[in-house]
Amino acid sequence: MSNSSHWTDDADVLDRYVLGRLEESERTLLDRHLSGCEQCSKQVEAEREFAAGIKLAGREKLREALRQSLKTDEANSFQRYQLIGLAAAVLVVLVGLGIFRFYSGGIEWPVKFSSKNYIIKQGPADSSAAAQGSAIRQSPQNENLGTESANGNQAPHAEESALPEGQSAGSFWLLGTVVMIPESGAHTPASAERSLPAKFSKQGEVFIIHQDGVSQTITLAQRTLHLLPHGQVNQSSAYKTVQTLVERTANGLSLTLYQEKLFRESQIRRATIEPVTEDSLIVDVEHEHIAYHIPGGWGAQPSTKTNFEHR
Amino acid sequence: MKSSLFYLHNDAKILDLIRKGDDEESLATLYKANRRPVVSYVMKNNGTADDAEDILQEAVVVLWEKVRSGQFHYESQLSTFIMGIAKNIWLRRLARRRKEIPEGANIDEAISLDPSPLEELIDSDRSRLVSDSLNKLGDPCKKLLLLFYWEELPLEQIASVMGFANAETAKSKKYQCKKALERILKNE
Repeated sequence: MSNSSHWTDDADVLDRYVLGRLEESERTLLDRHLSGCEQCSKQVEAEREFAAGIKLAGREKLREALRQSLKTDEANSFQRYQLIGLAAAVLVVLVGLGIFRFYSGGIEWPVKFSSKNYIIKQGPADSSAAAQGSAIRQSPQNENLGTESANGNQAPHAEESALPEGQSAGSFWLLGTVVMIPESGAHTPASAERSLPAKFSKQGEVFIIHQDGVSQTITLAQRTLHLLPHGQVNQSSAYKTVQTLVERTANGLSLTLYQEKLFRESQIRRATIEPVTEDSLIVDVEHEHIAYHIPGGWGAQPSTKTNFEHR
Repeated sequence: MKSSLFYLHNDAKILDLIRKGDDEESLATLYKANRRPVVSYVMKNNGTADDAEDILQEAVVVLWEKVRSGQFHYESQLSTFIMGIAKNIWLRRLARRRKEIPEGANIDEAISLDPSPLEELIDSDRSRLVSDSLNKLGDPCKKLLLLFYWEELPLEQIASVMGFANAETAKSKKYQCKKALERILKNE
């Protein structure tokens, strides 16, 4: 504490007094002096206002920093919400487009083969093709969706079409339909879920089927799409289709698949043919399953009793 | 026990941020964490949403000042402390406005604001004038005066923060800055 007659002349003591940093005993002593010194009281008041003003400036500075921080937070949070909103909007639009395309026929659910009954449906008319390939659909209630079903109804016979050079008169065009088949379960030919037992043997691209003691063969071949004869254009469809030339041979059938991208030879060699009913079959090449309905049946002499054996 | 450790950790983090000078994050965290109860209290007691925002900001600033000046002692959760300060500020403000103070609403003596004459002068016209004049000072002087009168840092610490040789230099500089501010005030 100062030894001067007015302690308020000591700036250090004055500061400590105003900022409340003095001991209680010191403060009491100074307060006693203040009560008898008007000039000192005025000095203390002025110093308090000075300190209060600086405190006020500091608080305002801090409050401004707080407001800025909150504003930044708010802006960031708004941007986050904007992004979420945008993503949600995009999702809604995509889902909406999907629904629209589904109902407008642009999309169809994948065909499943988990049911016991398979119905072969006649495909849409192809003005250039003599006969149509078939779409295969699942029908849990054995509902007949098409003109024929797996239980022996016959498909309308194909009309003759103008055949390209080199094709035999017994040949006709089919649109094979690429279908989805679950990996597990019923997709093996021998499955009990199929209407026919599936035992067959194979030599290269030739599949041999024994039916009532008579040998039937189905030969698989492929050609590139640009070799497709003029007029045999792949139809636009919800399904991927494979334009196929079917030729009846003395021993059975020959299937020639016309594709933009050919299977490798090894893939063709590993391919299998799975009879589904007497007039429908599925060609499995790698992971593709191409379904056909063969008007008149895939055998030379269709029978209600069909047996496949290894040769 | 798990939750109290959680709160202790959060409070410790906030106190650390304040001491380190990360004002934006510490203040915003305190503000957001205490907004709901403080706004609810003020609005239930004759206040408006603006009053509530103002009171909350002030309470957060008071806590910040106490921590920075070393006067804060952690005896309860920060949220309890903030709420106590906010109640005190609001009840004093209500009394000043001569509005009815809610029944049973006692000033929280455990978390009392400094009732010093200095605090009472904060909102005076003269203080406002000093505050405005301070903004006309150059940055070093402004900062030095804020460190001394607002943050109430000891001169040794101010010397360290401002890069002065020692506390004596800081004291001398503070005197010069104070005189400079008084000159501006005289000319106002």
